[in-house]
Amino acid sequence: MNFLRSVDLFCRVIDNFGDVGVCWRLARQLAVEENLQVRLYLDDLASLYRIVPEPDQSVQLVKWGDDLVYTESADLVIEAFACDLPDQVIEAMKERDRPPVWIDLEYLTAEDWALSCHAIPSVHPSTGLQKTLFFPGFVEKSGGLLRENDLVLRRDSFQSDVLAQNKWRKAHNLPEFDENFIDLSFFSYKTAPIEVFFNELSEYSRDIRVFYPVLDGFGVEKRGQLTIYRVPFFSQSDYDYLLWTCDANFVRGEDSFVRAGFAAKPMIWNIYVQENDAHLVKMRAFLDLYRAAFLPKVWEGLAESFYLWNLEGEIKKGFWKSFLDNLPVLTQGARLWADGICSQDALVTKLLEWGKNNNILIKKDKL
Amino acid sequence: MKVAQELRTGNVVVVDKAPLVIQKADYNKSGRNAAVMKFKFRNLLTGTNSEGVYKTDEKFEDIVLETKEVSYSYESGDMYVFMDEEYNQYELSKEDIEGVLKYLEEQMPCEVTFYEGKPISVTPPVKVVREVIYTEPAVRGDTSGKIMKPARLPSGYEVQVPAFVEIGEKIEIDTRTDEYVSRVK
Repeated sequence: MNFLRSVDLFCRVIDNFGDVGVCWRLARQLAVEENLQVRLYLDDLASLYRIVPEPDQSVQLVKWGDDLVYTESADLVIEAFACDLPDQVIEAMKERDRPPVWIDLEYLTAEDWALSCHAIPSVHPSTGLQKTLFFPGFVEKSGGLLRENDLVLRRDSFQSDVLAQNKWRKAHNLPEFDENFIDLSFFSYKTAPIEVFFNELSEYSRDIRVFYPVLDGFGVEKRGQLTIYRVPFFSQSDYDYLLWTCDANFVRGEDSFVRAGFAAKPMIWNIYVQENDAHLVKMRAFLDLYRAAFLPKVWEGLAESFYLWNLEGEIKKGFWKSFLDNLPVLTQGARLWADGICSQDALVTKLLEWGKNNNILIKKDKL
Repeated sequence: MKVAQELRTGNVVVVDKAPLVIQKADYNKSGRNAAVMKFKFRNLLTGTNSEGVYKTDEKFEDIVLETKEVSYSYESGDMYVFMDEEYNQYELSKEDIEGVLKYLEEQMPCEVTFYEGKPISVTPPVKVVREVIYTEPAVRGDTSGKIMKPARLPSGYEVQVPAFVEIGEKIEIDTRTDEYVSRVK
């Protein structure tokens, strides 16, 4: 049995900010909420600083480069997204009197096969160490979702306080809350049919404001009923407030998608495109779960929105009108979805509980 | 050495110095996740069963054991009987051939693996052709192959097929990944 005091988390940034965003959240939760010593090994610290400009000192950040020196393994070693640990890390793990718990944290998916492969301790063929693939997911049997202990409290407090929302908006050069406007946050890959969407919004019967975080080209653009606010990227923590203050959120990848689910607001997901349309299988599996939260009369349109946003099907003029018309009903469904996922144990809880149940991981301070 | 994706039901690998026969091998892949193999093993020394989940590029030391070409003959109680060209019969338990059951039909050619003279597992052909005995009606006009649906085989096993596949059609399946390959006219 390992007494858990320390964690080493390894992450290679492939592209964008999703992987590093997930790893920072995980590292921070293990450090702050579980009081563990956490080292986060990143090959691209700049990507982290883009979404976490001033990381607090709870996590020790280590640049993972060719000159990495690693001599002593932590009690728990997490290899994020099959990033392949360097040989010297493996050697250090083998040299411990008690081998560390080695977790391969995988990408989030709602597919059934992931449940059947989740958290099965497996003897690694070349090292003899035990390695376990851990699959985050939306249901009890999965590895859960990364969620801070105080997230729901902070969200509810913020969403019920217009003054707080306006204060936050002002600090980020966004217009104040106004019930005459529909406010949308917007974060998508370039593959999404963005121009068609904006054109539709510009002809809608109500005024719409789109808050669009971009890396450059900031400014305000007016198109008919639509006003687009191109604003600087938000920090990871501020992005939550953006999701919470908008009427609906267009999100992409994994981390912002999960956070939009917690926001209890309608969302449209732009999924990361994969070969052989593997992403569509993954999206379909998610929609099969998401469906339960929504009334049948709005579900079909919402599901079609997901497909069209991911270039499956032909967008007919006026399509987005029904999405906007249905926002009040969709919001009820989004709340139900958020309540459901927030009622489950979060990923960190599940990870530590799994370790305890398998007699391989117990926090020293719980003895 | 073989990578996990090359390993099949019936292969024997060494893990932590123990010879393990693979009784079931499932391939899974989606989105950005690493493709993984889930194995069900039996330890040839102790007889104990275990499971393992591995990335498909994980390297395993495999043991080349004696094998023999056979065909499936019949079921006898809890045992499954296979026969070679000289009419020698080899009995294997349901557990021994768990990963093959979904494709098993009379006269199916297979390969039996022996360990210390005893049959321990069966490897099916790489590709098999099976009839679809049930699937939801075909989607008219969809020939893209992007939309998949479950199709039931005579064994009761379900495989994902493109939406245009209909009941009564024969399909080719890759037994290594349990994936649909093509329709067979």
